[in-house]
Amino acid sequence: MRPLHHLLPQPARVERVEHESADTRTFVLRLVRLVSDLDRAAPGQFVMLSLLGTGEAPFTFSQLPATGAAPGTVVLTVRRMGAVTRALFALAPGATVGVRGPFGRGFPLDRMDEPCVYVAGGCGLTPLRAAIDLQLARRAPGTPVGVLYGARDPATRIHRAALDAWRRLPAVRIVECLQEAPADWSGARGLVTAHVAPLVEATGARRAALCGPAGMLAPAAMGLRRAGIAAEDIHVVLERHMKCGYGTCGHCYLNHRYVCTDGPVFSLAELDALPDAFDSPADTWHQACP
Amino acid sequence: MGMAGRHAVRSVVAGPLHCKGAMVATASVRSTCPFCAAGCGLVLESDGARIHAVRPDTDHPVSRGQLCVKGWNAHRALGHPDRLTTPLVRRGDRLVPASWAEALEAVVEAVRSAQAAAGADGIGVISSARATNEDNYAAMRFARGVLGTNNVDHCARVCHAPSVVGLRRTLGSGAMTNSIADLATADCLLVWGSDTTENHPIIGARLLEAKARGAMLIAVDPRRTRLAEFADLHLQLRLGTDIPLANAMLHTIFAHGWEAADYLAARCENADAVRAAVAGVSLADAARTTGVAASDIVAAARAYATTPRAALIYCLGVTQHVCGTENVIALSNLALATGHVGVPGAGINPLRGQNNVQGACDMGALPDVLSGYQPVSDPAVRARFAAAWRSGALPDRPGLTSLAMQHAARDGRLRCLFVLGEDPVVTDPSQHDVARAFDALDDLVVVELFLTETAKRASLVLPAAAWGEKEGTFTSTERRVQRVRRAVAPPGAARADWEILDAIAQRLGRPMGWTSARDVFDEMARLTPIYAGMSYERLERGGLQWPCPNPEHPGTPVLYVERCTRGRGRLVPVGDTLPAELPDDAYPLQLTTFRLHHQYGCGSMTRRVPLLERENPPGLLWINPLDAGARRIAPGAPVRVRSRRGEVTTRAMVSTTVPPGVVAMPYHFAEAPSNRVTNDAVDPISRMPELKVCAVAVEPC
Amino acid sequence: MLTGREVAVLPERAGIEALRAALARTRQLLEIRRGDAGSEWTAVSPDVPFEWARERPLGGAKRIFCPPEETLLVWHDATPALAEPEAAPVALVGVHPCDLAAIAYQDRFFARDPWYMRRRSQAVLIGIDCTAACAGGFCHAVDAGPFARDGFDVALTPLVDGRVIATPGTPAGRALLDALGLALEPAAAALSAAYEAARAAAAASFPERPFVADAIARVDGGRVTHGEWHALGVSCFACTGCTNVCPTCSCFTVVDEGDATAGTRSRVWDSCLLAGFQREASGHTPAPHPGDRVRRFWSHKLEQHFAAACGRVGCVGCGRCDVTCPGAIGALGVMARLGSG
Repeated sequence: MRPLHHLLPQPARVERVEHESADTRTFVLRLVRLVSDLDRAAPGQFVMLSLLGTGEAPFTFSQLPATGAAPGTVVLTVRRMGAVTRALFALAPGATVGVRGPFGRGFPLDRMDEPCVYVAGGCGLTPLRAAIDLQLARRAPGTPVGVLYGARDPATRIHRAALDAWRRLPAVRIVECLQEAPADWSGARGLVTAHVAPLVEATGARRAALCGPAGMLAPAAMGLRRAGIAAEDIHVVLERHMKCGYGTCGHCYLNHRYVCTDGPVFSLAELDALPDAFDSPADTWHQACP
Repeated sequence: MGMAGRHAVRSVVAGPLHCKGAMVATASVRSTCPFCAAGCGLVLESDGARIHAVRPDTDHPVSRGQLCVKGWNAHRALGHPDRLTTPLVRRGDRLVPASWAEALEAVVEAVRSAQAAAGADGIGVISSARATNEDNYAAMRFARGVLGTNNVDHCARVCHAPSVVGLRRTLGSGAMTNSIADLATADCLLVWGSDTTENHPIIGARLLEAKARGAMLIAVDPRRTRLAEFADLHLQLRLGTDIPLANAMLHTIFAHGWEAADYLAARCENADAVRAAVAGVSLADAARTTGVAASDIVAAARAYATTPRAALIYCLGVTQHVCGTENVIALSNLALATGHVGVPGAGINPLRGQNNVQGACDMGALPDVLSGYQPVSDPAVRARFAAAWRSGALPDRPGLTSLAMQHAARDGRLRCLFVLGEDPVVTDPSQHDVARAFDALDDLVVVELFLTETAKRASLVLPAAAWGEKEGTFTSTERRVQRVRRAVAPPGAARADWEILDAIAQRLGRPMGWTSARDVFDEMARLTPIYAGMSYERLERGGLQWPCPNPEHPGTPVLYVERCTRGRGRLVPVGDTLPAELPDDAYPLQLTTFRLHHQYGCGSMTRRVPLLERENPPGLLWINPLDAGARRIAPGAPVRVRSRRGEVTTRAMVSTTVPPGVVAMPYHFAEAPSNRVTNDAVDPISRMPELKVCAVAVEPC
Repeated sequence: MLTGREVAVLPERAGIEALRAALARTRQLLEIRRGDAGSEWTAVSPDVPFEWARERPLGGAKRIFCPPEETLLVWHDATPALAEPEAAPVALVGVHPCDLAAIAYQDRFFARDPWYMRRRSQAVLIGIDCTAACAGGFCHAVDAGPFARDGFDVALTPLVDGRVIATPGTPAGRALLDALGLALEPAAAALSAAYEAARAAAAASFPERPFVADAIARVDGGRVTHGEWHALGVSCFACTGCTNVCPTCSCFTVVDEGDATAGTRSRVWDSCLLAGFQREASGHTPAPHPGDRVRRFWSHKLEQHFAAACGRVGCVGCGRCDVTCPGAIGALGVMARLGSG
């Protein structure tokens, strides 16, 4: 049978809420009882956040005990989107929520210490943040790390403190890119895909991690591949609707794999064998009607 | 009202199995789907307290083991925590729980004071197309036999009133002439203004069956519906150009001699007048007006006229126009001229919208007729009912329609209104007027499952039993009378409408004297010739189609085989009528309304089902990519829809299922009420509002 | 193959009554009966004789172990606890081989699921081989019948001469036959031959449907074009009937009732044919077209990919989807359109 903390939401209190942007906040949750698996969770893994009477939704960790978060805490950066996140945003510190997990396959940590670029769009920076923190903590001095982060406009940038902290470290190159940049914006402009190749070249990256909106993934992955990174070394975080977290409810089917257990982190080589991994360019997010 | 004995306990078989929890024996009960009027058979699986699942009835003559997604989820609104479980009485601005005794006493008080103030016609009853025949018959008898008024009506007015009026003129009765199973045997299907696969899915399935068998399928619809995708011919006419198209087809038929001359001579009248009226039609003009190529008009006319088994199927795309009645007559002309009425695999087939709108009409929940369309003006009819009811003389003048009742309420002529299972505040056009009418009443008595917008305005709310909680019958669009059965008890103190009305009648000193739904049905059958041969025993499996005049009669799958109700079928010339509002510079797009497959009516049931609610598309305004592009509207972007009457905001569904120049909105959504922008111009004959076309402007917001 | 397997022989069909009586001493008997609401699994008394003529019920045995609604959590004071299904010991007598294959599939899929396993562990399965094809069934084409291969505690094979071969499939089944005093012996050559003859006769009773194998090969090989899937998608009404009646489908959604203080969380059958099934809170969906969803469903039923995890492909050839699909794209409907030959 599955372990209890996969099945039964473990109580946690909202300890702190940090403002990220108009619709995004970071929630620091303190578990009422320690769950050792959660303390050992890896970047890229996720939990099911449970609000009794409302429902559950999956969220990746933005920080982990392994990257400096306090043991016994679960740190999630959440964008307000559906019923569960709306209810979560209404909670005050001290309120109780539930957490099941950790679930899924995170980043392959054994190969962390190589020159690497992280490419994120929008709230896609969240699952990469823990991975970046971990690599920066573990890397041999001087191993180059690049972060390419795209947002719509200055107000939607999240994890700004982390970005500033990374910027101050040696051999770290941060490229921030805005689609709607104000005149005084000193960073990059346009879509992140245009900035992939220069960053790979500048860092000499041999590995990459990628997370962002569905429409960005395929072109960004293509950019990384063209820049010379092998498909096995491009790690993509996929997002899907999920109900259970452990491969039973079926919502996250990706061809014959489950994003919740086989992912959410996949190598591009794996995704090459999964035709439904990326949206076809003609598809938009609206439903096609017969 | 007990459980149907044979379902409750079985001597050897303890019961079938399915459970939330226990792997123990429970009960499965056959019933009839409460959504569209196809009348599909389903089985309710319960443990006696809660219905856990629905499964299709594999033995059902119409649905044969199939259901649509609404049917599969039909049980989920029943055990809902929002259900009303106790009577509520108004205390100031609050509705507070009360006992049945208190509530009934208050109802009696309301009735007496309204009668004292305004006479018998100071009270009205609005019954429901979703309630059972027994409930509708009870409402009809309650109004006429207990309250002494013909002020009784229900919602048929906003869907098929033009069919009732139009077909009564041409054939004598407004019902679907043929049967659903029969449609699958047609060799040509002319489907006009019906999104059948979405709104009557199992009927749509039978049409596709005919198509797969080789039938020619002609879809007439301004939208590219699923049926249009399958069609051999899609006549994508401009909104509101049905009569020019029908007349052009009729012209073509006469011009080529494709009409059924013998049939016209033997069975119809007034054909020459129509022949003369369409003689001068120009195909080129018709093509310009309708937007349908002349060659397609000819091809459709030829296929429809020259195929012996050619069925005409239509729905609200025909009726919800200012010329709704004339649209129906134009189609009736086509069917009669080609000899397709009274023939298996053919006929003229209006698809009724709600599960029991046919039955509510049959039961006489109408101001001018008693059950079985027997006129209140006929003294012999009145005498027969009065004798059976021991009620004294019945009122002889037709009563008020539901719309007229609202006017009378605003004038102070109507002081008390009973509303059974309808929510006019949401579903009727011009919401403010309805609310004002209800607020002007001394008493509004609402019998409901949920605290609807209408119920919130009531002085008394009485909790009703739903379809899975009571015995009874529904009559489907093909005139099939079928059993509805109790699988679980109603929640709390809720009761069937007929029980509530009888309880009120008892306190008014005029008990209706029923102890079961079967009593109500038997009384109705005795007084209603088209139902006279029916009994619960005979309806046990598969039901019966009316007319069924005696206990040996097998029911009537095809109407008018020998003659129409009125004798000869009458052809009636109809001239072109343009929509009441055409696009102009200020409002350059045409808006039409439609229904979504997974929603039903105002959504009081379907919107409480999570799987159905989740299906709602992210946008509710369908707009062609060309129109969207011209306005810089991205898929899913917020948009404002404005008409001369109001505006709504919603999101855009950019889709080629609507042609350029046309936008479309489903009407189920209180948060984006299409009725705020639609036109309240009405068909002068049937009073049907023109919900299918108006002029709007659309802009991003 | 029976040769070498230890089997018992009931001299006549009535021998099943002793088996039922023995099972009924400790368990509720469940059998397929045609009641007022059609054919369905029904709790029966052993005093009423067994009915050999069993129509495959549209609502199969799936709902006994994987019910339409299953309560997962209950809370009264804002503290959730796992809900336990009230599962009592049952014996399902007369399971068709297609459904045995489906139960075996779900046993593997749900092997770590406490709710399913709690129900399933209470059940003994007595299978009965089908001696003739049923209308619309094609189990032989997907290796799920007409004779049971595994997934049973005891399988019964009726022979034309009236004898019934009882084959134990598990230690529990063996113990059951032992307790009845039936001698378990390796099948003799003659018995084996009779078994093979019955199997051959059953297999021969299926209509020729050469398109089935071809269609399965095309789906499994990814050789069905997007255009073909799209054309099938137009026929999908998204009624959810196929997934509801499919004995190997188990996708669910989760529904909360109540509030944060007191309530329940249940899983409820869902369907991958619904547009909302994979739609995310943002509105994005990886399967925006009906054809995408129809493809996903049939891939999951027919591709070999899934055999590794669940022991076989998802389709057991029961034909239920063909009965319930209003768009005529149940399994045989789809295969007839995709396959040739």
